[in-house]
Amino acid sequence: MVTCGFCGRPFRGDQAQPVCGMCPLAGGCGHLRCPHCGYENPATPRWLRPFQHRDTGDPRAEQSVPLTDLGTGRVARVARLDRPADAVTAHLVALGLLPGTELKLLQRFPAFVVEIGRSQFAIDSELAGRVQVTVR
Amino acid sequence: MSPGLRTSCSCHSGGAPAAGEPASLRVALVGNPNVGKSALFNRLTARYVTVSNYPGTSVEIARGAARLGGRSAEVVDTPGLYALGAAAEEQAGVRRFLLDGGADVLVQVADATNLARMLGLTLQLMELERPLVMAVNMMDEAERAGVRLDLAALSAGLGIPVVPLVALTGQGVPQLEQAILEASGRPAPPAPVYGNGVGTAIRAVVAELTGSYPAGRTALAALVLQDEPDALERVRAAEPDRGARALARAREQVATFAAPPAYRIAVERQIAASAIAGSVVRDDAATRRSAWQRTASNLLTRPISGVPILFAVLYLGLYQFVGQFGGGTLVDWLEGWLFGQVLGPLFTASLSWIPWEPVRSLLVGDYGVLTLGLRYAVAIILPIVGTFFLFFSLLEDSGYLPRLALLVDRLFKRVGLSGRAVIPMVLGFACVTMATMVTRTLETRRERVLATLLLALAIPCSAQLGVILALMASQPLSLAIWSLSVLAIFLLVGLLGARLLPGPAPVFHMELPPLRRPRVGNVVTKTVARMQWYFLEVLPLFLLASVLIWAGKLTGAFQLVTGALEPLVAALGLPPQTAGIFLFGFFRRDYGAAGLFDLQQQGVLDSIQLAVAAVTLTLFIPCIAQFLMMLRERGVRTAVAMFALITPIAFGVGFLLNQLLRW
Repeated sequence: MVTCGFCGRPFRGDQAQPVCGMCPLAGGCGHLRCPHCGYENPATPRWLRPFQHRDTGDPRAEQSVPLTDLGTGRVARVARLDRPADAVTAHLVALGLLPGTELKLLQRFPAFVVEIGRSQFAIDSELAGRVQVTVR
Repeated sequence: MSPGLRTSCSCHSGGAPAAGEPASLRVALVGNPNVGKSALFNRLTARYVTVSNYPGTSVEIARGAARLGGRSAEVVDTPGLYALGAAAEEQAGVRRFLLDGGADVLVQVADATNLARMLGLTLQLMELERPLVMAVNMMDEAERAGVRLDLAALSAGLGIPVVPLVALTGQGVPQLEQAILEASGRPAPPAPVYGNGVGTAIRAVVAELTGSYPAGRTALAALVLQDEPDALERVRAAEPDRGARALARAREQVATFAAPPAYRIAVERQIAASAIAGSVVRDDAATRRSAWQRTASNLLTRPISGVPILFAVLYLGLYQFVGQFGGGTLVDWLEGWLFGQVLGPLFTASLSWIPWEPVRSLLVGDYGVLTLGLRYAVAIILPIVGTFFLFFSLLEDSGYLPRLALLVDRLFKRVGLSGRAVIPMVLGFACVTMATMVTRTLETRRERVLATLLLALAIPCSAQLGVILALMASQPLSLAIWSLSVLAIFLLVGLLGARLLPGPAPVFHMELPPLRRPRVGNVVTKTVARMQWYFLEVLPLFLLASVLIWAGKLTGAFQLVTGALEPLVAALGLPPQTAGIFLFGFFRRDYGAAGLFDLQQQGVLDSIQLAVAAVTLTLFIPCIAQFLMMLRERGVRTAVAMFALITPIAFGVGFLLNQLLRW
């Protein structure tokens, strides 16, 4: 969820206006164009994102982020799993990575380690990217 | 894979019903991995079995005979299962077994410290509408961890008997036996009903299943909604209209789901399971794992400490324990004293009266069954393999292996494998044949093929490793060249294979059980079970190899092939005797390595030739036992293709290396 630096209105990353086709940088500039006013907001680099999500106390800030954007030690709740048709996703659910479940991220490298209840699981970044969580 | 379950070969005997008794009660132990199914199996049947369900090791399903309260029973131990609908081969076997009504009573073994997760499977098993008993194991750990369970409420809520157990000590097992007997005489519990449209969908499909089925229609309906092939097959066979109505109904229902059916059903099951757990589990402990467990786990899973620890473990375990002690001390004792001074002369002397030269040579000649085959199996292979299994079982029981998998996952991804493949790879250093069998636990075919190829090509089995290390210990340069060449080929073939082989990239997910001090009983049992397996499966192959060599020599076939190979080895700059060694190397990789050893002792090989020969032999076609295993596991076409790929690589690299080193 991005708040536009110019007009102040919030929008989601996937709502950003796609004008990259004509531009010589073609999507490589790391900017998100606000769908409301057209202002180009710089997107936070991937490696910086885990440090970004501080608890603002704002109850409206129920954005879901992929697990890969979460910092270690954070507690989060599973919002949904992307690619639900994949067999492995159903397996993740059986392991307990269920929408509504609370988890704690213990480690990010070399693989993601999450703790759910008493169990710990290791998953790679591909799978972790499919787990959408909300941070409290 | 065969539709039935594979059975471990040494577990049939006794327990058959006497005349006039009712037929043996068929009991199946089912459950998630790491819950102690195998420990319980041991308790019920008093048989040795590999006590672990770490993915990849309890691959063989064991059957044992037991007497439950005076009634004869047959107990089946199955591999760990998370979901009936799972695609992996191992789980497919269990699914078919359950759908075909292979057991009279199902016993779900659950981990008391993780009940919420176990209940998902309980609900699935209840869908099968067969007598079910829940055995809640590891009650001692739950108590230690401050987890309190209201099992009476659980039993009342689910409608099935629930028995607390500590399988390792045997507590609760008599009560379980009683519960199993009672459950066999009572009707099955009703199938669970799920919410949010899933229950309605299942009911709608069940209504169209009018045929007769050995197992619950609820379970079938749930699988049909997920388009699961085994269920579809059974519905087509049992329905008069080949399941047309049922399938149409399923399609109709699935269209109303917002998400794919497998996902929706899994979610609803977990919601139901969590709800049940919520009212039954009281978790008091503030810290879930003890401080030392967390610290140790962190040390192992972070590369900065994990990698040095791994090297230390490999050095102490593989090099010192298996290599020096097993391959050195034990082998010297067994070969030098036992065979050299006691058995060897005994065999030769006691059989010298046999008048026919060919028979004598078969038994006690240069390549005799007794003098060579048996000696190699007992004096050379067994100590190395035995120490390796001990080492591996220790690692396994402590919970180290999943953490190792986690460490190497990223690296393995480069060669097209996931961290899970670390198990067959490590096992490959013991016996490549066994490791090839274990590759069946890898999830995608692409991974299985790549792992098999790398195992066959670049991983030396323990017997070969022991001899090669001993061979080149005095020539560190040759040793360095050998290890670098083999490693380079491993990486090259892995990288290329990962690029060229079509198929989905592997994903990595693995449960990390808590680290624990290895339990001596467990470790010993596992080691003995593996050694028993190895002896029973592999020793006959050794003896067969001796016979084949003997037959080959007798008929002159051997000389023919050796003659054909001689120009080939000459191109590698090697003396003509190595042709025979390579041929032997096919029958037993270690015969080949040992042959090199003899040549080196005789001073026939210089250090360059030694390195070239060792590299070619390591890369060379796998031994005959392993080739047979490849045929079985990967199929004829793939196995032959690998054979055709490996042979030129092995000789080609040898040729290049020779050119390079003499330049």
